[in-house]
Amino acid sequence: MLISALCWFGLFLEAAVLVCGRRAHLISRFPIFYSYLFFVLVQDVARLVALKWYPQHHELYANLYWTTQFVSLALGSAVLVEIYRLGLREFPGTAKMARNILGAAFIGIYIKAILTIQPDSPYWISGAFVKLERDLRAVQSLAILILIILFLWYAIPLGRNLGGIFLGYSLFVSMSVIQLSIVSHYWHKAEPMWAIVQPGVYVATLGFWAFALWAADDISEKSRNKKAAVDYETLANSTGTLLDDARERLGSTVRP
Amino acid sequence: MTEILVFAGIPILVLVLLSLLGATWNIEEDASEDAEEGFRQRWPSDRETAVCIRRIFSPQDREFVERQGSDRLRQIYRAERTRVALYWVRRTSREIGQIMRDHRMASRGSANLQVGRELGLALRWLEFRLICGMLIVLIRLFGPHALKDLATQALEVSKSIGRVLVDSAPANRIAAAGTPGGA
Repeated sequence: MLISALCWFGLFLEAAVLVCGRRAHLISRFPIFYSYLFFVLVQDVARLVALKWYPQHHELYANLYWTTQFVSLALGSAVLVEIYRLGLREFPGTAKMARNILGAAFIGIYIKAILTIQPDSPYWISGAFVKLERDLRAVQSLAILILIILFLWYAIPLGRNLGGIFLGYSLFVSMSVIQLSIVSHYWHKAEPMWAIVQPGVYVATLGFWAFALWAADDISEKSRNKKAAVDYETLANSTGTLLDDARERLGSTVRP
Repeated sequence: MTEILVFAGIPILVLVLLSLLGATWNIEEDASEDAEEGFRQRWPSDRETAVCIRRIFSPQDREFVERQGSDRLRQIYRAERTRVALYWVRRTSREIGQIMRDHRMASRGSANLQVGRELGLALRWLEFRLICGMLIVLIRLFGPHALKDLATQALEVSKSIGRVLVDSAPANRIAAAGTPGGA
């Protein structure tokens, strides 16, 4: 009963976020995010129809579930690209840093995957989609982690709208990875609890999005008033000299 | 188990950092246009400070207090000097934090940012924070002179080793020269 109520409330919130986005003219600002959310709404309705009206066709639901799940995962990755693009548009230095670190991380993951994948392992034969989804979500959460560290380190002002999208999506991905890694190992013990926690977290994420995307913020206008960027070479030299000076002063406390 | 730790660790770390990001997402911080000038003004009397710092950590005052032979005076001196030393280390740490903050604010908008150099600066900052943390712990535990005492002792040991090596060098040469026909 509670799970069913959470599912229906989730559908209502998805629709509400879309309507709010249209009313606040946010769809043109975050087209990929709203496309993603629209897809998730359609996907949820389609799954509900398959589950309620065709309960005897198990394969239909399974095929629909996994197909839509991977499409929404790909769209979710596009949402992250949108967050990176919009959040760092005014900060080319941080954007360059993010490109390099994310690139290095993805190359590392790709090399590890090539070295560890065994073509005849059950992972590929049985098509264990749960494991595949967990791995893809883990890559997403690694990308999110890198972005969060860079946003915090460079104090990037995301604003209420973009920050809300980022926080909500990160929360959702994090909970998915926890579910797919921990819970799948201890499914029998965790199932009753997780059956409520998972839709609960999703509804909380949607509620968060509804709150953050209720109205447009003015962060873009503020960002336009940025001062001219300084030359990096001069800046790095200056910071390096100051760090050396400070180190020298600290060293003088130890030197006999 | 390792798999679970890795897969669950990343999202948990994400959640922790998200809480920090959530607290700052609306805060606009200005990039300093003349960051370099600002840096220079922060430490106006570098030489004076260096003299004071040498004084705080120097053994001369301690030796003077020791010579007075008063336990109470020794205690007061140690407590006061520890407080001053801790204050100085914390202030230096804060100033370095401010330097890096200004650097980040300025470099985030710089199109010609060099990733390797930026990472190098971040690592140096991290190293610096670690040294400050270690200094705070050591000063709290052993007092402000502990590091200098340790370094002095290490220097004396290395000097004495050097002396031993220098003294033993001619003897070794004699022994080496005498060995073939010495028996």
